[in-house]
Amino acid sequence: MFFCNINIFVNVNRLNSVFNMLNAVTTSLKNKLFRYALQIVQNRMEAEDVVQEVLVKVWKKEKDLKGIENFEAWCMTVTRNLALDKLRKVKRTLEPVENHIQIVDNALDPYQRTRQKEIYNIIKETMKLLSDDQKQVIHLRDIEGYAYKEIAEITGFSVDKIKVYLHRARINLRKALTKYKHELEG
Amino acid sequence: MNWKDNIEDLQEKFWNGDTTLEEEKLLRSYHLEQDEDDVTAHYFNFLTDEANISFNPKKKAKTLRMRARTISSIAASFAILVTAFLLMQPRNSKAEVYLAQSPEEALEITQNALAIIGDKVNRSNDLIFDNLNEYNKINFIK
Repeated sequence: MFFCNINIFVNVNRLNSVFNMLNAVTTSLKNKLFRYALQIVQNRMEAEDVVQEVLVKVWKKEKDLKGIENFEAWCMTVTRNLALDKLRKVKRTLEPVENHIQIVDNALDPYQRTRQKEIYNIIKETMKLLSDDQKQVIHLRDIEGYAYKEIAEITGFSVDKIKVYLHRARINLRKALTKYKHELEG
Repeated sequence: MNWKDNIEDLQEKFWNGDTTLEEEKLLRSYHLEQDEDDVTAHYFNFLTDEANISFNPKKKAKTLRMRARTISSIAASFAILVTAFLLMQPRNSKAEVYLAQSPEEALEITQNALAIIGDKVNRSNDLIFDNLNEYNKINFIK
């Protein structure tokens, strides 16, 4: 049924072309897009929707994509824009992303696991207090490992601004973690 | 001099946002290997776990099905209630019911009614077919 229906829409050449284009969106890139969307919308289902929309956009823009220099950065920018749009539109209460924290390191004993969860919560809570721009910059740099120029391309911020955001965000995170450590040590 | 000898300086540089990507990679791998109780190590552990979050739309498909089932149940219950309410309404008068005068007229009225129903069924079929195609398109992208 699936193939019958797809034939109504596209001819074989177009289908091949679409396959090639979609192959460019590797699993690793899909995961990056998902994490970035999740960072912005803070809800797994909404983030999945965003990624689906990005993939549909890739399909529809198939012909224009050849002119894009950095395909990954372009996908990240589209993700950012769609996620921000979604965030504006979604009015209902979203399920907080913290519910998805799962520490699966079996090498940790229960005490270590609880402690690690506390530390992760502190980091998450501190990240919540950062400005949206700072959150995006720290996500793209520290989690995804992008260079400043790439972050600038994705977000549209200047490199100087990115450095300032990153500096401020890390200072806040360090303060929160150091405070927690001192409290533990009594 | 080995960069590990200056690990504290590198950490300081990192928290101030002055490290390069390469230095950050070194720091990350160093802390993941050391497994120590240190603020920077905790932060890198967190980053590593966050970077392992993956896109898994299967979960969502399940949730969407559940959502669709819930919505269908509500819609069905509502339809039953409305039907029950309408059936319980007293019939007004016989004047509203038109009685055909001859078997031929009755046949014509019935044919017209069936034509209207047939038209609606065809339109619904078209609509369902269009939606199925859209659904297949999305599945293809997944």
